[in-house]
Amino acid sequence: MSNSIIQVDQVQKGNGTNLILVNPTIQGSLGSSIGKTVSYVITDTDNYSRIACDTTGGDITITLPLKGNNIGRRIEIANVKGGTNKVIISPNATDANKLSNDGLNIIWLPKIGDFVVFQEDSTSGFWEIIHEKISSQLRLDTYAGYGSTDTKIMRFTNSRENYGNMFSENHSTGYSANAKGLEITINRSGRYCITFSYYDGAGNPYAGLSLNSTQLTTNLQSINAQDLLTIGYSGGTANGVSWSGKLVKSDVLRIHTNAVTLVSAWVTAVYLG
Amino acid sequence: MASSLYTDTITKSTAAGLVLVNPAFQGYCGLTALKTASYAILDTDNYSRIECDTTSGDITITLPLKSNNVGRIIQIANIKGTNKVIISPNASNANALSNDGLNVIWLPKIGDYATFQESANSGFWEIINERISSQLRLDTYAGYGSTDTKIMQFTNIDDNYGNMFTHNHGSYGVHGLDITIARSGKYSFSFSHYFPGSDYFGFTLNSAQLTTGILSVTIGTILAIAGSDNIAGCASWSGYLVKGSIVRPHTNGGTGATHIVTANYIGS
Repeated sequence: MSNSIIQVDQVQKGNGTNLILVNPTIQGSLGSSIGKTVSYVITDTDNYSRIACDTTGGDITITLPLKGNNIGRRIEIANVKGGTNKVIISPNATDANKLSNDGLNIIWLPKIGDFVVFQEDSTSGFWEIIHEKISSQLRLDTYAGYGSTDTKIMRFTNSRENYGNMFSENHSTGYSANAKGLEITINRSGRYCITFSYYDGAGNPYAGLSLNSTQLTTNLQSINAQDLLTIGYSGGTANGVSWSGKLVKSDVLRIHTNAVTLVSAWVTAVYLG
Repeated sequence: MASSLYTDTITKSTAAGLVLVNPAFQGYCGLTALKTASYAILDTDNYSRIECDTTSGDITITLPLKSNNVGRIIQIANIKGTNKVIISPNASNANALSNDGLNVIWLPKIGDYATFQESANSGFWEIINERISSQLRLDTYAGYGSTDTKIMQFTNIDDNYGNMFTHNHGSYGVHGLDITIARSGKYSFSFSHYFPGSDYFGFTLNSAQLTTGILSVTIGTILAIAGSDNIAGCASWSGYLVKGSIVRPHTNGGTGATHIVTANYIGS
């Protein structure tokens, strides 16, 4: 089957001026799929419903067409082949910050198999995401002390994995000259999971995760209860805490302790979708 | 209700053949088939959704030849029964399921489904939508591998379904439990312990130090760690793993008492 075909039982004249094709069945796909190996700007008239990206040659930027000219249009963009490069999705320059209900201006598809399906929505004013598989993960290890200003917020040394942009972080930008500890800021509202493990030696720490806390020089066990996501305690041993749940755009998560010196520490943050 | 495709007019285009102007669907254009026995999808059956009733046993659904179905979208769902749906590519398209090049995908639970779209660009039947269950749950300490002396073995199997990852429980040989990722995606692991003495335990990723206690392995291979000293504890981790990754319940080699491990495929 090389071409798409619509078969119908009959064609009727509607009450108005339109025609009705009764019991249509589709062979193939109604949408037009195209493979891209370099950046591409989707046009109003190219009829593409799926852009399959091969990133073997490097990152590829796919730019959506002007919203106002594509009312109700549905477009899928997928990372289907390549190695370690990513697909970068941007709106038309006139439609800045129109990707998803969270008003993003850029979405990355860093892993093969990642995809996102947009539909233009005049009601919300966004390119709504109606289906997605988007990977975004940060994995750090090795205890590196605490922020000099945010004295109860931990820092790390090594980055083992860092891809995607569903959240941002300040590890890769130096923790604001070490004034801060690790801050994970949510860019896209959704479900996330954060795990934190540590070996304290003999420090007896309270350690866990705080959400949007302003008490960054206060021991975790003493901060406002509503800012506490999870907490653990260990006495001269290892321990771990984890939390999964829905977070909204701009939420800030931190590895928060009572500032005990640790021997080792590991943290993973992942966007679940 | 019959499905209908409304259009203002049908015009003849030199470039595009017939053109339906302002088409709008009412109802559903794809054909849905119910299958109670194995079925090989045809190039010409027009099915876009195969609903499987596994009451009588496992059902194998075989996708059609890729090259005859360019761009075709097919959803396969387990809707009834206690057995599993097994999805296979056409014999000429071995290892063409998903970007991970799988040769078989199981839908073990009612409500599981996978939607494939043929992609000539990637060379695979891409999975464009899915709900696939895959879980392993083991309990009861059974010592360690004779070669991999810090990797724990277990006695009882409580849950074992799906094939998004494989494992060697039941055939440990000289090894402890190895969980090998078959499909890249998001997974969660939890490992709960009660050690009568003190020990450290957790999960390592692709570690080659299988005779070294977890507290001393290369730091970048540790996913999660916890400790216990005559108390119970739990180590858990969730995140994205790529095909071929190996996750192991790794300890310092202490003699255990009560232990439970669960591995779960969260999804793509």
